[in-house]
Amino acid sequence: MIPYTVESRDDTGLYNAKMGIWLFLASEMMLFGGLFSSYIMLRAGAFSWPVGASILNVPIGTLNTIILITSSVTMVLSWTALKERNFKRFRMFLGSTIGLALLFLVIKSFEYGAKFEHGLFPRSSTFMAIYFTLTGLHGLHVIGGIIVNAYFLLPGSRMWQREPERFTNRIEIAGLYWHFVDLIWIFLFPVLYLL
Amino acid sequence: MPEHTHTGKEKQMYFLVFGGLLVFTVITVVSALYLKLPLITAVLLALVIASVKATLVGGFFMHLFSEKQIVYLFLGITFIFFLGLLTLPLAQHHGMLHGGQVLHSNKSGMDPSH
Repeated sequence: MIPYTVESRDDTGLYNAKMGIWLFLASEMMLFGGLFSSYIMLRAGAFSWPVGASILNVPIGTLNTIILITSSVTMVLSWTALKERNFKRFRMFLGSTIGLALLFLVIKSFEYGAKFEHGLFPRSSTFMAIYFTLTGLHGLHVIGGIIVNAYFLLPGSRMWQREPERFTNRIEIAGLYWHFVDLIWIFLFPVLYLL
Repeated sequence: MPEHTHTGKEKQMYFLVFGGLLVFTVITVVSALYLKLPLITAVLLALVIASVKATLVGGFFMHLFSEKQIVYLFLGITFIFFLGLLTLPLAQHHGMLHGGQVLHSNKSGMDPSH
C-alpha cells in the first residue's frame, strides 16, 4: 500500500503526488526558461528580427489560444465534477479536454504544413528555428497531456469505483500539468506571433 | 457548507476567470496589431498581460492562491533560478558581467538572417 495518496503528510501538508507534480513543474519551468532565454539572446544579438505577425498566422494562433484556455476550464470542471461525485459529468468534461487538445494539434499541424509549403523550415532562419523548437516542444507536452488524460478517461477510471478520493487526486494532478501547458502557451503566443 | 454549494461557487469563479482570459487574449492581439506602439512598449505590455493571464490560471485553476507554504517555497526557488537564466545571459551580452566583451567580439561572426 503506497502511503499518502489521499491523506496529506504532516511535514509538507500535501499528498505525495501533489508534491511530485510541483517538483516536476518546477523542472519544466527551467526547461522552457532555458529556451525563452535562448530566444531573448538570439533576438538581442540579431541585427534585425521579423515581426511574428508578418510570418505566422495570427487568427489561427488566437484560435488555438482560445481552444487551450477553454480546455483548461473543462479540465478544472472535470475535477469539480468528481468532487460532486458526478462521474458522468467528469467524463464529459475530461473528454472535452482531450477533444480540444486534439483540435489544437490538428490546427497546429495545418499551420506547420502551410509553413512547409511556403518553404519555411527550422533551417530557414533563426526565427523559424526557435519557433519550431518552442512550439514543437509545447506540442509534445500537449500530446503527453492527451495520453495521460485518455488513460484517466478510459482504463484508469476504474479506480473511481475502488478509491474515489485517490482518483480525484489523480485528476487534480493531471489538471495541474494541463494548466501548466496552457500557461506556457500564454507566453509563447504573444512572444512568437505578435512581437 | 454543503459540498455542492461550495463547488457551485468554485464553478462560477472558473467561468469568471475564463471570461477574463478571453478578454485579455483579445486585448493582447488588438494592442499588438492595431495600436502601433514602439517595440519596447509593445513587449512590456504583452508581457504584463501574459503575466496577468498566468496569474489567473495559476491562482485559480491551479489553486495557487490557497496552496501550502512548501509549494510557494518550490516555486520561489525555481523563479529565482528562472530569473537568473533569463537575465544573466543578457547581462553578459551587454557586457555587464566580467568577461562580457568575449561575447561582443563574436557578434560580427553571427549571421542574423540565417
